Amino acid sequence: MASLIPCPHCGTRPREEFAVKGDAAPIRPELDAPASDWHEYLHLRDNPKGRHHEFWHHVSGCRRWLIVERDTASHEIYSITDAASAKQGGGA
Amino acid sequence: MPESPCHIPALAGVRPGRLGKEDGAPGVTLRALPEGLVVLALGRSDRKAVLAATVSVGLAKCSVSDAGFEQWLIAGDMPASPVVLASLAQALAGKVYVSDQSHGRVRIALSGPRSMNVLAKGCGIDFASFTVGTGAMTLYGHLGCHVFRAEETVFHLTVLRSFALALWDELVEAGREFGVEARAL
Repeated sequence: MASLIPCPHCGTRPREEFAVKGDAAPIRPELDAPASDWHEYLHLRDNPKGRHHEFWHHVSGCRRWLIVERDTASHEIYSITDAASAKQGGGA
Repeated sequence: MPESPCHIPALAGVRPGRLGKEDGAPGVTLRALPEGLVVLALGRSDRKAVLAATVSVGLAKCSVSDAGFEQWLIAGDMPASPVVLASLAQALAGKVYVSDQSHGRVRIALSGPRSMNVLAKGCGIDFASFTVGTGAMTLYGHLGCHVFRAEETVFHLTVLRSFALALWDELVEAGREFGVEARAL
């Protein structure tokens, strides 16, 4: 695990302040989507090696959800954005 | 039998006096701050606007500091009267919501020449760029708290009330090697 996370709101902080949620790529299905879509979203997750996007929550800091682009093998962090701001079309 | 609730400060029971290293001047001083006004402000604004509103309702002695994205902590020694809180909410209305935390959070002042060493034992913040007036939400050990740099060597730590004693004890332990002067309310 990366030990230092450069939070866009708080600056560089140790990872003890964060909770990692997992892959940020799957898109949550609509509430009335067929069970197969929900099954895929909830249970069929990849465990990729290398660079991917993850949700991280800065629990003990700004309490914002972040999208961290991280290499799971080298722990290198490439980019980090605020998840809610990104969803609304803005930057971090 | 009528109930007669009385307010007991969270840090009422701490032992005052000298702790840890006994010779020389104390490296750090721990002080339980009065359980005064603590308000969390949240909204699309900035610290300057929140500070201006705080000053406009007569709370110029309060500190206003960052407490996360679009959040600010307003804190001071004066009592959090309903009238003051209402006027503060009014002054910020439309943009910023206020949440009274006066009975939920407790402030501890950590001061002295070794105060930053004691903080560095438990916090992951880079204190080199943590200038006077800066505030941040962080962890001290495993305890979530807000750190505010009031003066060059004076830090205010705001913690959930039920964790106040635990944080106090942790700060005492961390400060023992420098000598701690503990001051109760």
